[in-house]
This record gives sequence, C-alpha cells and structure tokens, in this order.
Amino acid sequence: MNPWQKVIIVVALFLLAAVSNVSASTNIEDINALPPGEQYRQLSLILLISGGADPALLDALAPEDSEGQGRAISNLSPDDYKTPLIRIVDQESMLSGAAFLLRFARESNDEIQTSLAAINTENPVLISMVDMNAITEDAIIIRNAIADAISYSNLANDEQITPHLQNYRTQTIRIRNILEFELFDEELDKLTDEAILSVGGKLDAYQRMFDEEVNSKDLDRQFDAAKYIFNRTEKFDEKAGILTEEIMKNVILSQSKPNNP
Amino acid sequence: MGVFAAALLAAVFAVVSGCAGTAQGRGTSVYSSLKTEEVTSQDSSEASALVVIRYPAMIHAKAENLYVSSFAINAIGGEVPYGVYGNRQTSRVAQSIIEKSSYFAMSLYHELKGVLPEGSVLLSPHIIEWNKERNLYSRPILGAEQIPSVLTIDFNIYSFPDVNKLMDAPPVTFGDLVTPMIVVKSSRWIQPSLGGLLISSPQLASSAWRQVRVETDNSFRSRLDDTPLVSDSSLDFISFLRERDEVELTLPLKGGGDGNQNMAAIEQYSLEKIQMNGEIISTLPENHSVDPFVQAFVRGASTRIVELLNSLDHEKATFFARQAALERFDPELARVFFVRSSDESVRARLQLAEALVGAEREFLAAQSDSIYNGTYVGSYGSKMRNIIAAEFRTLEERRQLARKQNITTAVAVIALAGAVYGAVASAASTAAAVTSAALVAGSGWALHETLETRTESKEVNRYFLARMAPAFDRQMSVQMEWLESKEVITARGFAEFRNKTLSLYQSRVRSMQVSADQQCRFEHPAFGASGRWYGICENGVASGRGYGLIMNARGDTLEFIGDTYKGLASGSGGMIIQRRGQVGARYYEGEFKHGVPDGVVRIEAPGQVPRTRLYKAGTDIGKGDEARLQSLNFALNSISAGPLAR
Repeated sequence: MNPWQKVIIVVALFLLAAVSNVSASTNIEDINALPPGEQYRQLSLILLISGGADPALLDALAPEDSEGQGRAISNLSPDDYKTPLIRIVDQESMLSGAAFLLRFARESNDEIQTSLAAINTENPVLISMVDMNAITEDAIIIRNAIADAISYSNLANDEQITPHLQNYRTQTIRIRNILEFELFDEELDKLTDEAILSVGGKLDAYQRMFDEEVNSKDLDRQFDAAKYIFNRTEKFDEKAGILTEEIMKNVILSQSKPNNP
Repeated sequence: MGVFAAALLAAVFAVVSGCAGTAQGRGTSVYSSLKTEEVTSQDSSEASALVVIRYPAMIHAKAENLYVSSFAINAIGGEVPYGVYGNRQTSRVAQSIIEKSSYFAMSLYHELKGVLPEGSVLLSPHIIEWNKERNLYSRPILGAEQIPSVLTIDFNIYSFPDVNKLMDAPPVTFGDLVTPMIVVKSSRWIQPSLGGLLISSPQLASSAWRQVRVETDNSFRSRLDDTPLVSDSSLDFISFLRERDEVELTLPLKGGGDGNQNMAAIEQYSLEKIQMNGEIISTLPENHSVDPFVQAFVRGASTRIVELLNSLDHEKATFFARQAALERFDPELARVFFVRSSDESVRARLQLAEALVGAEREFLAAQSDSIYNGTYVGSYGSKMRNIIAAEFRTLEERRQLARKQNITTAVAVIALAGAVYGAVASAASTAAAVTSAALVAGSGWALHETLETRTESKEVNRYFLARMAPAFDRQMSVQMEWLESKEVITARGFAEFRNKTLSLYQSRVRSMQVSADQQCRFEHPAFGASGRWYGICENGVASGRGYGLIMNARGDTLEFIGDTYKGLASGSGGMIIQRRGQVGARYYEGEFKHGVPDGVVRIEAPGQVPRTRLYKAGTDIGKGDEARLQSLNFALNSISAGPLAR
C-alpha cells in the first residue's frame, strides 16, 4: 500500500477516534494506568513528537514560567493533534498544549525511556506486535500540525525561531524518510530472500547434474588406470631393463666417437 | 684426452645431480609466523564487502592455445625449451593451474569467511578469453566485482610448465607441493602513490602495476570526457601471461617483516613452494575435515589480510567503488555522492541506494557460498582431492626413487666414467669393453639399476600425466559445463533480481535538494582550465565540495577531492598528481589555496615514508605540525539513521 494511502486511512481512523472521544494522556501516572500496549504506543508517540524540538523553540512556544498555563490545558493528549478540528479551530490551545507536550517529553525523557524498556522486557511478545509504522505515521501528522501552527502564529516572524522551526521540520522529514526506508527495506529483504532461495534450489540441480556426469564409471576406470601404472610387474621391469641397457650402450657409443670421427 | 675425461665426468655429475632432486618445499608460508588478531569493526556502508577473491575458474576454447603458449613463454622459475611449448604435458600443467586455483581459492574463501563478518567475503571466478583487440584477458563470470570492496585479492597457484623439471627447484603445484601467488589491491586512494597496490608476488608486480595504470587511465579518461568506462579487470596472472618482453619496472618493494611498514611500497609475497602435510594429503579422499592448504598457507595469509583490513580506512577504500556502484542505477545520486552532503534528502536517497547494493552483496555472498559448496564440498572437490592424493603418491614414489638413485649413483658414476675412459683408450668393441669393465668393477648392477631408475622415474612422471589427461579433460569440461550453465542461470537470476529491486527503488526515491551540475569546470594553476568537476558548482566553475580531474598537454594527470573556490582547490582535500612516464604518483592531503598546497599537508611518494610538511603558496617551507593536519574524511554523515524509537 502506498504510504500516503496509509496516512489517509490513519487520519480517517483518528477522526473516528476523536468522535468516539477516546482519551489519551500526557501525564506519566495516567499513562501508567493504561494497558501495556497502549502505554507503549503513547510513550513512543511522545518521544517521536519531541525529537528535534530545540530548547529555544520550546522557550518561544511557552516560557518555563508559564508552565501553570500549560498544565491547565494538559488534558490535551498527543492524539488530539491528529484531529483536523483542533488544527483548524483552536490553534492557540494547540500551541500551548504542544509546548506542554514537548516540555513534558524533554523533562521526562529518562522516565519515558525506562518505562518503554520495562514494558518491552515484561511484554516482549505483545510489544513485537505493536505497529511502529502506525505510531510513526501518527507522529508525522502531529509534528506537521505543530510546525504548521507555529508557522501560522506570530512566532513565524521571529527570525531567531525560523532555524529552530526548520530544524524541527527537517527532523519530521527524517522520521518520514526512516519510516519509508523501513518499509522499503522490508520489501527488499523479501525479494533478496526469494532470490537467494531460488539460487539455492538451482544449485541443487547443478549438483545433481555434476554427480551424474562426474561419477561415471568411465571416469573412475580412467582414474584407476592412472593409478595402475605404479604397479610395476615383472614384465614392466624386464622391458624397462632392456630399454635402459640399450640407452646405456647408445650413450657410451655416442660419447666414444671423438676418437672415431 | 684428460680434458675430455674431465668434461665427461662433469657432464655425468651434472646429469646425475640434476635428476637427484626430491621436489621438496617449505613446511609453511612466511605468513604462518604472524600473530592472529581479531578483525576490528569499523563504520562502513552496508553496501560494501571487505574482501573479493578473484581467481581463474575456466577458459574459453578459443583462448586455450594462446594461454598455454603464453604460460610456457612467461615461465616463472626458469627458461622452458621451445620443444616443450607444444607438449601435451605443458598443456596439462597449464590447465591444472586453472583447476587447482579454483580448488585452493576455496580454502582461502572459507578461512576468511570464518574470521570476517557474515556476507563480507565474495568469490569472483574468472573466465579466460581471447579476442583480437584485447589479446588474452579474463573477465568475471559473476557480479561480485560490481560490489564495493575494501580489498581485492587475486589468487592463483603456479606450476612450472616443464614437467621434466618437476623434481628440481622450480615452483610446482603437484601432490603435496603448492605454490600460491597473490596480488592484494585496494582503492587508489588508500595508497595513492602506488595506485592502491598493496601486496604482490614479485613476479607479478610489474604487470600488476601496469594493469593498475591502465585501469586508472581508463577511469580517468571516462570521468574527464564523461564517457562510459572501458574496463579491463583481467586477473593479474593473466595480465602477466599476456605480456611479451615488457620491462621489469623498478618498483618500490618492501618485505612483509620490514621494520618500515609505513613506507609507500608494495609488500612482496615471495614465491613459495610450500609442502603441505603429507599424512593429511594421503588420506584426503577419505577425510577432508582438515584442510592441509589452510595449515600451510591460508591461515597465515588470512591473518595478514585481517591485519591489512584493520589498518585501512574502509570508507576511504570503498568511496569511489560505491560511487561507481550508484552510477549503474542512479547517475544523479552518483554525481551528488562526490559532494558528501549531509542534506537529509541526499541521506535518505543514499540510504535506499546503498540498501539496494547491500541486497546485491547479500545475494552474491549466498552465491559465493554455493560456489564453495559446489567446488570444495561437492563432487568437484572430491575428485580434486583424489587427484591431489594420487599426485602425492607419484611424487612420493619419485622421491623414493631419487633417494635410491643417490646411493647407487655414486658407485655407478665412477664405474661409468672408468668404463668410458677404457673404451675410448682401446678403441675397440667399446660396448663389450664397457660392459665387462663395469662388471669387473663390480658395479654393473648398480649402473643398470641407476639408469633404470632414472628412466623409470622420468617415464612414470610422463605416464602419469598422460594417463591422467583424460581425467583432467573431463574434470575441466564438467567444471566448465557446470559454471557455464550456472553463469547463464545465475546471471538470469541476478538480472531478474536486479530488475525487481531496481523497480522497487525507483518507486520509492524522492527528489534531492542538492544537485551537481554535469558541466562544471575545474582548474589548476599549472595544469590549465580544462578540467571537469563533479560537485557543487557556481556559474559553471567548481565552488564547494566535490571531485575534479584535469590533464595537461604532456599527459600528466591531476585528481582532487575536497573543497574548491572559483574553480580551484581551496580548503581541505586530497590531490594525486601522476607525471607521465613516471612510476608512481605524488599525493598531497591537507589544506589548499588557489589550487596548490597551502598549510599543513601530508605528502606520499613512492618508496618514501609519508611526511607532514608546511606549505606556503605551493612551496614547502618546513616541517608541518601533525596535530594541525586536516585529514580527508570520506565518511558520509550518518547514512544509517538507525531504528525508530523502538
């Protein structure tokens, strides 16, 4: 399936999710209360959203002293950013919520990493079934929503913020590229494995052909014959003896000729 | 008369001593004393292999005559009488070189595969061919040489063409005796002054150097004129055989154990006739769990290869080969590759492209495993082991005969000399006189046995090869059938695989934000302004990072990789200058300004230890501070972005 088709499907699904008011959280305790699979999904999502957000960008979004304000809207979960409604209607809430989310991710990074590792250790099978591609696709939508919100706000006019925003966008493109690479690599591995398998099968056929050709009795007879020449029979010695006598005589005769030109 | 007798005695002694050799070799290779070390892991592209082993595997019928005569003409270890050129035995020995090289190359492959990371060792069997334009040449049967590799090893065994000299000193591969030859090369940028030629058997060094020069010139021309590359990737042994009366070049050589290993010189691997363990050889057909060639040569040689791999910068060694690999399917990316850009769009595209080449490497590694299984483990290997064991028995027989001959000869020679003298003096009934004189001397038996032994041992040798000939022929043709059909099928399989992976690649690549103009000028104050630049370009001239080349009217060439400004080398980079007619090139690495070295620069010249010097406007003004040297970094910025937050 084309990645963009996937994105469309994901967006549609999340629209449905928004309608059904499925909640998500940005509080680590709240998240801990969720089932392991969902915990893993939300924590991964938070990490992916926060990557490449420089401290300068965070400060511009919401200075640290306005944290109380951030807390006031902390009930805005990462998943909320995927809804077109919030992106269109409530840009300000989204920006302040994003500031809180990014700061939370930065400050709780170690805790999040530890939680992810623990969930992974405790539920290896379950975690192996988590669809990281879907999480990454969500993260890309959310990151773009946050970056667009900054672009549409007054912050976009601040020249000092522009490179940090660009860096955040570049990081989003990198995440998209990595996602696409993983899908590509998966398909490539499949093709490679198939090709290797087909070569292996064909080589079996060569081996059979080779065995049939080489293990012929004819060849073995020739080989035995070659070895047989070492079996010096009495007759062989006799013939060799006569031959060497003749050679010896001829050598001596030829060497004696100087006196009989 | 006295003079004649003395001359006769000398001649007799010469004949006797000439035949009294026992065909011995060294117990182990010079490399066997090396201390084994672990291969260190280095950052390198997944597209690259570490070692490609090239070896002669088959010969086209059209090339056979020229191959055999070239083999006799360019004999190593002595002159071959003209009469021997057309002998069936000479042809057999020439053929056995191909068969046994195929067989023994497997030992090297298996050993290296065991010590190096999975999928990093590839086999590249060659077919020897002939045509009017290229004369004798070889070409790879499979695609392994299209994969970038840190090292390329040309491997073959050698045997002197004249079988009558088997028991003497010449290099031989027969039975328990084996004479391996190797040439180890890397990228030109690894040892620029010597074109990347690192190790060579001395006999092959001159032709290997000429071959390197041809490849370099072809590659230079192709890039300068932006025309397709005409490549001659013949095995160095075949290049050596092809040559006629070429001059032996005075190349800077160094021994394997020389103290000054930093010197820019070709390490010699002396021609060694190695004697493998006879006990193991004699039981090879029944049990090949212990490979005697590994014990005698391969283990030491692979230790030296690992040492080399640990000492080289893999990114540098594969940079140009990776670029060439990309050029096959993504010319736009190949041009941008020289820029070594850290832009995300380039990184992402490069990651896809390198994964594609990496998949080909994996496929070819699997193919190499299959070749190993077919050649060594399978029926071919089994028959070769039978032949080697039979040869060993022949050789042992001859050694026993030679030893016996040594004892009997001493008495017989005196008797023969005395008898001849007596016969000449009486000038009557010489044959009878000799016989009776010999008998009177009590050494008739000894004389008879000696001559019989001599004759027999020589005949045994001839008989053996003549009788084995049909077996060799059959082995050869089966090997050819096997490889030929394999070539067709695997080539088809490989082509299919490539088509599929390429269409996958094309469906996934995105455009890049960096471009490298196709028509961009590169200049040098002494070489002129006719150079070509592959890299960042402004207003039609080089301006930024990339790779440039230029040739002057004399035919001297200059290559530069690094930073430029207004068409000239400016900033950090590396520059190779090859003067026409000179052996070896001069390499500068460090800082440049207005096209010439300016600042701290490392200089490498053939036969010298690289030095760090301080330059001002192209003039050497004294010793340079090593700590301030800006080494050329070939590493591309984090091609592998690693997994997502998993």
